[in-house]
Amino acid sequence: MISQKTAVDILSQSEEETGRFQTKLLKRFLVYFRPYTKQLTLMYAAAFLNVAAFIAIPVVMQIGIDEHIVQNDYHGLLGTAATLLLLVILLYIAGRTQGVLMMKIGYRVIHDLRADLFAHLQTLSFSFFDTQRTGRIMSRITNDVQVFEELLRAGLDTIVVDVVLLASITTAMIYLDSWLSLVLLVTVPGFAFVVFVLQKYLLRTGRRIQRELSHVNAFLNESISGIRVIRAFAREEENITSFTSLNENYFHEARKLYPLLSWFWQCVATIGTLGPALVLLIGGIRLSQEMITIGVIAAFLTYINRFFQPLQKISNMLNQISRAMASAERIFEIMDVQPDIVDRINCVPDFRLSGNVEFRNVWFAYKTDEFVTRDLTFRVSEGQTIAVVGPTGSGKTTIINLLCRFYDPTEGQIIVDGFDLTQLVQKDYRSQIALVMQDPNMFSGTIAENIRFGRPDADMATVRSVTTAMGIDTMIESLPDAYDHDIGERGSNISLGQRQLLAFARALIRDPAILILDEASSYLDNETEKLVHSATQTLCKGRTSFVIAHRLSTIQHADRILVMNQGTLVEQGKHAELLSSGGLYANLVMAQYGGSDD
Amino acid sequence: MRNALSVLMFRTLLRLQPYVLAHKSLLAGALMSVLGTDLLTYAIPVAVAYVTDVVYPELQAGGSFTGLARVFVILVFSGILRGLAVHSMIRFFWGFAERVVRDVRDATYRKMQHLSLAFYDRSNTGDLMSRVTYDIQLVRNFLAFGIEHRIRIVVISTTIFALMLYVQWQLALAVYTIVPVFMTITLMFSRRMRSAVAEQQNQMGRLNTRIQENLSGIRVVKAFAAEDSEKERFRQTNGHMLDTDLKASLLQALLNPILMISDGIGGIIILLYGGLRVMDGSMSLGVLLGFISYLGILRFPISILAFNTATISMATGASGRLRVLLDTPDQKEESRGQRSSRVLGKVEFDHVSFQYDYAQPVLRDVSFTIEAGERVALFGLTGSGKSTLISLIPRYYPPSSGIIRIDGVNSSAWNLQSLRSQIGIVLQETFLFSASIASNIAFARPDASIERIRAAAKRAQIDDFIMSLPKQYDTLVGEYGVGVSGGQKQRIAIARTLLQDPAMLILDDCTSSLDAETEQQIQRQLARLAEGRTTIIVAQRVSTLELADRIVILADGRIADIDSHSRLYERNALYRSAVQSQNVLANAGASEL
Ligand SMILES: Nc1ncnc2c1ncn2[C@@H]1O[C@H](COP(=O)(O)OP(=O)(O)OP(=O)(O)O)[C@@H](O)[C@H]1O
Ligand SMILES: Nc1ncnc2c1ncn2[C@@H]1O[C@H](COP(=O)(O)OP(=O)(O)OP(=O)(O)O)[C@@H](O)[C@H]1O
Ligand SMILES: [Mg+2]
Ligand SMILES: [Mg+2]
Repeated sequence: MISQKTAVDILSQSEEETGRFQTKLLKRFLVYFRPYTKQLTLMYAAAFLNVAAFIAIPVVMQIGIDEHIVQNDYHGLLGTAATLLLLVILLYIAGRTQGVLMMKIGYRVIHDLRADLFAHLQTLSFSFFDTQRTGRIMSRITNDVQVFEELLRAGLDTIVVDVVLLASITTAMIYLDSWLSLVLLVTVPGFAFVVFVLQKYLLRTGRRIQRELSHVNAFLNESISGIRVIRAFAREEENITSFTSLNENYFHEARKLYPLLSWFWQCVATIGTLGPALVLLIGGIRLSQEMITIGVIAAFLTYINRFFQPLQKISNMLNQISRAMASAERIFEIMDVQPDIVDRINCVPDFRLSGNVEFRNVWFAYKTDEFVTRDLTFRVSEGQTIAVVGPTGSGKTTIINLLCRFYDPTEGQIIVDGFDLTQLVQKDYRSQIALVMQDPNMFSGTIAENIRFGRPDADMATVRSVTTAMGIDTMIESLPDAYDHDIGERGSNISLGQRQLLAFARALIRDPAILILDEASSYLDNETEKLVHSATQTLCKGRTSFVIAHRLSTIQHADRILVMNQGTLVEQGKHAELLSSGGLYANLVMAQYGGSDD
Repeated sequence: MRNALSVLMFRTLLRLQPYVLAHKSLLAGALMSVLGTDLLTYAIPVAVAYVTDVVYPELQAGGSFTGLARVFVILVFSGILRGLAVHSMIRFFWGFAERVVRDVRDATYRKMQHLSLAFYDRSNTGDLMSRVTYDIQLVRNFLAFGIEHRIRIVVISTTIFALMLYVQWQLALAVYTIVPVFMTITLMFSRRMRSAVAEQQNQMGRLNTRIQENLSGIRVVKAFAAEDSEKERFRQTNGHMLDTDLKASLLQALLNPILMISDGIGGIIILLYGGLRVMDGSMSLGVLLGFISYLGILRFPISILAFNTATISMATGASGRLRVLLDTPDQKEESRGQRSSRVLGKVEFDHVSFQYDYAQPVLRDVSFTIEAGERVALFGLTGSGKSTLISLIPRYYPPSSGIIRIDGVNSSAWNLQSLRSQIGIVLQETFLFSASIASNIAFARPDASIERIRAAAKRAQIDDFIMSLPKQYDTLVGEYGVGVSGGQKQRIAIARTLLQDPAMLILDDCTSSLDAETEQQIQRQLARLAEGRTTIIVAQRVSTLELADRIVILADGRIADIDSHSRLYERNALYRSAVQSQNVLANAGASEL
């Protein structure tokens, strides 16, 4: 299996071509049909009935012609018609059962596939998303799945049935007249050859098309989410040019596909005419030797016609499957990415977090060998408020990322309540901490929904008690729909400061054992900030908290201040101690407030 | 009836008219090839009738094989011709489809680039994405094989009818009695399919939105251990998707067998009625066999009718949605201003009020003037309307009432492209594109030299950091700037605006994520840069406010006060307390030192 570190390489490798049809992949896909074995069986039973009726019809017709019409047998003819009617009814019932079941099974499979893909994406860790564009992942979960849908709609159910149909028609033909059935020797290998040759090209173009499409989608996705920046720089026209060229690339690949289809259908058409022509020719010869009757030739003509349909369908399906394989590859590639961070088998059961944290010689690099934290060692006991300060890029957020176990340290250990972080179940642990991230990322939906994201079972009263404590209740009430105000995608319909307040509320409502605030009030005005911080103090009294802030006024009362510089912990202590020691912290304070003093 | 079935096809084509017309010669070629393809199909039934009625009796009477051989050669030849016709038909249709769809995709993107921000406030990325991917794909299918199939269904069934009429009109009429029944049924299904498909496509938009939101907020999801509840929410959306998928596709699955038996019923009619006629000698056996093989040809249109009906229904829905998008008025239509001279930098708000979509005003009767070259700070509580106010200057939104003048000219009279490219704005929320740092900084001037890029980066205090990276300016950053720290991201965004070298500079709280030292360095650079340029800064910190010539205090969407820092400090109590609260620490610090 593939580890997530190499996910970038793997996912991009798929953009290369490997070129062959993968039965393994097909097998994996077939696994999705397993839960529906019963329905599948039923479907195939119906399908075979369908085939039987389908085959019987020309036979009955031929009997009707040869034995009744030619013989002037009225009653026999009526009997034949009645039989035919029965067959038609059978055809209807069986056809309907088969078709309905196929759609049901097919869409369920697609549904399951999508659900699995989504669930799998939820397990992947930050480092995967650091390197992948949303648009590209989206493309796999939507467009590649859609290819399967098209396969299904075009009649995937028929493939097995069609094989049986072919076999039975062949039998019937050989039984009727073995010489005439030599015709098949000309036509079948012809088809097989065409399909064989095409399939490789189809897989390859299918891959390229999906790849180009994902580029188009990724660009599009960013153009939508970055629209405000695009406006700000009046970049619309340049973007349109870039999009046009990506779209042109896609078109360039897409137009390689249909010539293949043209060739395929051309062969189908030619061979399709050749078949009956041969029947007429050989039939004529056999007729002149009085070896067969006209009725047999008529039946053969019907058969050869009916023979072509499944043959076409099968070959066409094989083509479509080749293309679908390209998409299956892309889907399973994501499924194969293993998360970096997995729960161990023997984790601590029923973990209750109290909030003692210790970093022991922690080294960490996002990219191999570019260490952003070096040899971090510190210890925090339950209930303490710890501030982390330092110049931008010094590794503050990284400490938080490690503490939340979004990444595992390259070296060293993080101990929480005496357990190594890797011994805890991620979900257990994270559901007892709360984090306000540097970017207040909200979801579309109402204000109440967004706050409740922190604690889905919270009732309105709880939501209100948090917002009241934070002093933002009146602000929310003043919005058009108050708590039901829809804040838009990523919260873009409220101001950034308001968003940050919601992110704060979302964290506070969790009632966490460890509260982590990463620049959580950077967009707030001073008054609001003060209110929020006093709310934090009352709501999270006695909890361990980590506070990162550039505005040093917010952290002066911390129990301890960790001062970071270029990935190392350079000083730690209380505000007054650090100030008097005259180190980096004192400099930062001077820089911020020195100017306004004079 | 048949026309009724084709109405949707024409409606869909009409909606895409300009794009279809651009490639009409391909469509014409395709239609010609359809004709060739279908006409040549008749070679076989005609040959069958001829051979059974003329050639075989001759052979049975001991005649020579030349007649048979001739028919065979002709058939082989027609087979080759038909192959060519089919080939060109597919090439034309698909070539046509892919081209039209490419143009539509371009047009949709172009439209999206120009749609107003108000539109984006209302929309979801996932839903928009599904327009461009899913809907356009459905239209592609329609153009590539939907039209082909529909035309062939109509052409084949009418020509077969004509042929049958010609050969034996009574039998033909007898067989075709079943047609109206099946047409009506198809029509009924098609109507139901349309609403089912519309629902399906809407749900597809919702599903995409769900996925998109989850992915772009995945870090929050993980931080809150909300994976399970996200899965649950997705399960519901996905479940609805399944329901609507099934609703639409089961209609196809139900219609199909109904159509498929029409062929069997036709066979019974031929056998019974034709058989009787043969028996009483009023019809030849050849005619009967011919009819059976005509029926064989009809199998193709019948077997694709259900699929085709679904394809067309889907495309009708999709093209409708696309049309709505393409017809949405955009910024180009909303402001057709032509003025594109140099911006000098005088900004006037003249009784400006503004509200977003809903009725509650965000700005109320705001009036003030900023002189060219002035440095103005905007101060106000969270949500007081600062970002809204500045977003009106480059006309991201038009004011609801009142006038904004730039250099004395109504902003609606300015050419938007020209105006915006002269106003440099650093947005409050930093967004970087997933591209190299260099191309992010050079966003406004994609052809800028690396020297210029570095110069801008230096002024934004980020050059040192970038140079310390192994790949330096070629380092890739992720979406929204993943991969660099918050402060680094913000400085890259500042560099991006500085490179633009704008006539007017608007900075919306753009140093919030910086430490004090870096902030001051940037302030110094900005102060140099601001010489002679109008600068509007949204700021909370006193250190920034002090540097402004004047400060506009915004409260509750109104201008509460305008004056210089020192005078406001003296006379405005609220302002004074806000400033003092920030200095608490400094004082404490100073005393401890
Ligand atoms: N996902 C990532 N991949 C690679 N490098 C990263 C990633 N996130 C951060 N870095 C780098 O790691 C270093 C530390 O970043 P971090 O986000 O911890 O800084 P910070 O102290 O929080 O800064 P700021 O105050 O600007 O937020 C920076 O140099 C940054 O470029
Ligand atoms: N796109 C939008 N659609 C609807 N309402 C909006 C939108 N953007 C902002 N608002 C609302 O308008 C009001 C003013 O928002 P604005 O972003 O201008 O505030 P701000 O002063 O910039 O606040 P902050 O200091 O938090 O950035 C807020 O109540 C906000 O909810
Ligand atoms: Mg940070
Ligand atoms: Mg704002």
